[in-house]
Amino acid sequence: MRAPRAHSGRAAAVAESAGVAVTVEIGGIPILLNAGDPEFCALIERRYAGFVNPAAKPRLEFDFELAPAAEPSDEDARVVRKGPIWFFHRGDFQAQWDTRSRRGCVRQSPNPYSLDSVLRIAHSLALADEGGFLLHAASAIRNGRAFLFSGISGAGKTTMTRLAPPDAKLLTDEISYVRLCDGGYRAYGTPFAGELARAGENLSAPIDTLYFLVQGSENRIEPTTSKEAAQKLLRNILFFAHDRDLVRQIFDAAVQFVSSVQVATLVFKRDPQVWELVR
Amino acid sequence: MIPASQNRERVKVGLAVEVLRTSGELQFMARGASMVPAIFPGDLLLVRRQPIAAARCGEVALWSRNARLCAHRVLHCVDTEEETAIVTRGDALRDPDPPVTTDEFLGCVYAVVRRGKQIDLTARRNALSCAIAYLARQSDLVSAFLIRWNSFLCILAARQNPFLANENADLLESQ
Repeated sequence: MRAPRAHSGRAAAVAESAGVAVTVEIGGIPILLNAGDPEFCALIERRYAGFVNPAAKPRLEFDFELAPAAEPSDEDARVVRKGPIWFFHRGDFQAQWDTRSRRGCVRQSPNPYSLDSVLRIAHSLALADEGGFLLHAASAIRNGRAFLFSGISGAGKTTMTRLAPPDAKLLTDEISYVRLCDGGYRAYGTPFAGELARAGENLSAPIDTLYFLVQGSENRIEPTTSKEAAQKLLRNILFFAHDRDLVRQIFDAAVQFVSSVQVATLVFKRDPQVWELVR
Repeated sequence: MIPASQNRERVKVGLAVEVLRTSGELQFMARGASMVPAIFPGDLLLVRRQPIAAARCGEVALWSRNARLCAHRVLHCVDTEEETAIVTRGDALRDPDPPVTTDEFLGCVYAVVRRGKQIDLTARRNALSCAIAYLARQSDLVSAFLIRWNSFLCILAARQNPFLANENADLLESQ
């Protein structure tokens, strides 16, 4: 895999206007993807429609080297740090990212699944530096506040989004984006979709409550202690690298989150009335 | 309402206690200087869960009170008909702590990891370390000197081996 090319801002703009680069801004963090190939670039623009922002100044940058098509991999990505450089590796992609220059390169086939994984890893690392995280949770905005519904696969994340009333703006049914901004937590929409197969809206709002989902025979909210909340939250945060500093950052972020945001258990049945509890 | 910072500490201690109760082992970083020279700020403490009745004089007991963890040396045990308690004191402190009850007692620190080396805390202390502890107890100046000296050694060790990053280096730089 070749080293990242040195780009000036002007060169990046030229590459974007030539249709071989695209800036995707998720969670307010713009990433310039130098696809190097118009077809792959078009695929990225379709995949992340609603999150493409050519006007944004990139905070991270990736050069792509396209490899022959490979089967999407089910194995876990391996993410390791050597000095200032992170290496991401899975059967279907290889990537590296230099934390000093905030630039990296990716070798993958032109498929959106590998790219999704690379972006999730890059965002999770960038977020960890500032006290945020990606969470296995559906999220939506209602009355100007964001509500998160967290749980493992099958807990009911997609079900909650399907039951949502028209006034709820869906941020995601799979991966919630949590950032610490100005001393408070905000949830952002993401294009990372689950069973709903629909990208979230590119919006953000201050987080009101994090609910842990439990399916039951009635709708009710149960209190959760901060300790229980931290345990459950740590289980559901997307975590790719077994790195000591990263573990500490994620641990501190989870503890900080449960200490400052309302957390509860939402017992629910498959019934739209559950949203009457969420407002 | 509990302030967020206090709640944060409460959550951390709660999680640590949970880990110790479920797995029987706990590792955590020392922050205080009350056990100098046996334990320095930045040392990694290795703790094993055990019943309070198994705690012996000279061992370093870990206990929790008011949402804080404390690792101090056992001075003596107090057995009453109702329950067993222990009296502890930090090596660098003059006064003993109020008796630690069964509910508060969590286990014993059996070793610390400092500059990449594991140091056994269950072995009997030699006369030199007892003498240094006595001096640290009598003088804050001696205690402060020992902490700075240890931090200096940690910086040297980190320079020789960058993977051996130790909290002590950060502590010295922040002082």
